[in-house]
Amino acid sequence: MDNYFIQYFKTNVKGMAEFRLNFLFDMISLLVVNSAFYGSVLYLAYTNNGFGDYSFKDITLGLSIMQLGYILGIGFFKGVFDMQENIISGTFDSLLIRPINSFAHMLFSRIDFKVIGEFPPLIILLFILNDISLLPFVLFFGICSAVIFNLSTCLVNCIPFFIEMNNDIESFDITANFSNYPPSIFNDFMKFLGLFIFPGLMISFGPVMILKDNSFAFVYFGFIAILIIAFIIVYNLGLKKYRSAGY
Amino acid sequence: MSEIIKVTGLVKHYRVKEKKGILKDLFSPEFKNISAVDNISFSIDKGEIVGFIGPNGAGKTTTIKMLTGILHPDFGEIISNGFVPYKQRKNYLKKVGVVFGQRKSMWPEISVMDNLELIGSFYNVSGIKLKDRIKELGKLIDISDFINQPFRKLSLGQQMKAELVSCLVYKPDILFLDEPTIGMDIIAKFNFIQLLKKINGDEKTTIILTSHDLSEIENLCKRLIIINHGKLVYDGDFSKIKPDEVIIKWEDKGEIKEKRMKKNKVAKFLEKIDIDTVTIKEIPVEEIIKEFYK
Repeated sequence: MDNYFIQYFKTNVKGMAEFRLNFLFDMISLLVVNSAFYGSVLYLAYTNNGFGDYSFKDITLGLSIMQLGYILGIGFFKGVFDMQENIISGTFDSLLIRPINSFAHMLFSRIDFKVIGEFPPLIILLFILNDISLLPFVLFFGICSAVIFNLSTCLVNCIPFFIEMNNDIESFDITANFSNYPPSIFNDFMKFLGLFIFPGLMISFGPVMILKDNSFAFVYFGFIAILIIAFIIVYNLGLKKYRSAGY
Repeated sequence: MSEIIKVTGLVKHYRVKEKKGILKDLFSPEFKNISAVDNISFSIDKGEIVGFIGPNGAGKTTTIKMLTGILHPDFGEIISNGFVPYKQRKNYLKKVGVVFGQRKSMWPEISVMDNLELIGSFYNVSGIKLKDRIKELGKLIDISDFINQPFRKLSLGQQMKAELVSCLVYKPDILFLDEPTIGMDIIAKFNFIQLLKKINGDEKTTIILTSHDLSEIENLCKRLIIINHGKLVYDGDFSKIKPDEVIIKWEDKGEIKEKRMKKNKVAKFLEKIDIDTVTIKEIPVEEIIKEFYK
């Protein structure tokens, strides 16, 4: 049973090969959109000599971590983002008829290979960062960002287990918007929202905040621990409440 | 035969909104509980084929979903193949196959073979073991013509065959089939029924089948469970609900006459009338079933 994620990987590659042109167009569009976004933010940061107490280097570092977090979170665990729709439509059943953990099943079931289009902007960001000593930092916190992003998405995606819904709740856009800019541009209330409610700031600039103030590490890792515990409880309660579709 | 499924006092409620008008629904919606399954109890022996029927919304699918561990019951107990499905789902499903006619479990964009490799990996059936099993199943279900085609490009009948093979590669003890022949043509349906008979005969697989097609159930299942408004209204041999009467039509002095009578009285009756004009018809089983659905 341990090789099912390898099979999932193969399945995704074959699925991508079946629609290779579609994949190619998606990849190019991602590359263009991300390059334009990072280009404009970094240009603003460079010409203004950073934002508040966040220097150009801090901003590049935050965006690099965020980019890696999104690559890992969205690219390799795309199934998580279909969760709401699956619960609403009842197709979640197909995850529950197999003798494996339904969450693991969902997690590994879909890889979005167009995420390859997200790598060049990351490489450019790291090139601009121009500090090889920060690479392990980016890598570690990039993984943490993916965990925060996916767990917070999963928590929102569990809502249809408990209430009747006919549409997805789009928490992704709000979270992503909070992650795009350094905390210095937000007031305290918005900072709280961006850190703990729609944790976009945790995904991008949380690790930079640790570099600036070590004590923030407790908040950061405590937040991850709370997310994990909350998700385990909510997901398992949700499975009990799951109604499927049709009598 | 030993008991493989035991269901006791199974209950499942759904909360649905009552329509009271746009404003009331918006500001103070009222809800009511619907009993999808209401105190159902039955047991199924190993190797049995049981037809599970009922009108739309009777609770068949909900019951099947509870038996497969997808849904948690509100009350009641289920012991299936030695497990409590909703509590021990992972271990239980290693030996249980589930096919939903209205919901495909295979990946549409990859071939049937790739799908089988993926599904086999969930059950530790891979490589030569998987190929041997597909070859062995080929005697029952031939999927060689379309095994390398993407699942989405197959006909409905072919898709169902592929779904069934995906369940059989790991030799399940129990097979749950929820309206598996939906959308199939007559020939595909007939072949599918023959196939299930073979599987039951050769592999001693217990089969629980829901369908709206009574001829299908009649051909396949000795035992019938009828459920209506969430309650069990019949559990017994199919033959026992089959009417003991026939409809006889004959011509008498240019006039067509019709009479319902017990099968054992037909021979005596035929002696009295012009036998060349007689037609004898079985009473459709649907008529009897309709009574249970009321």
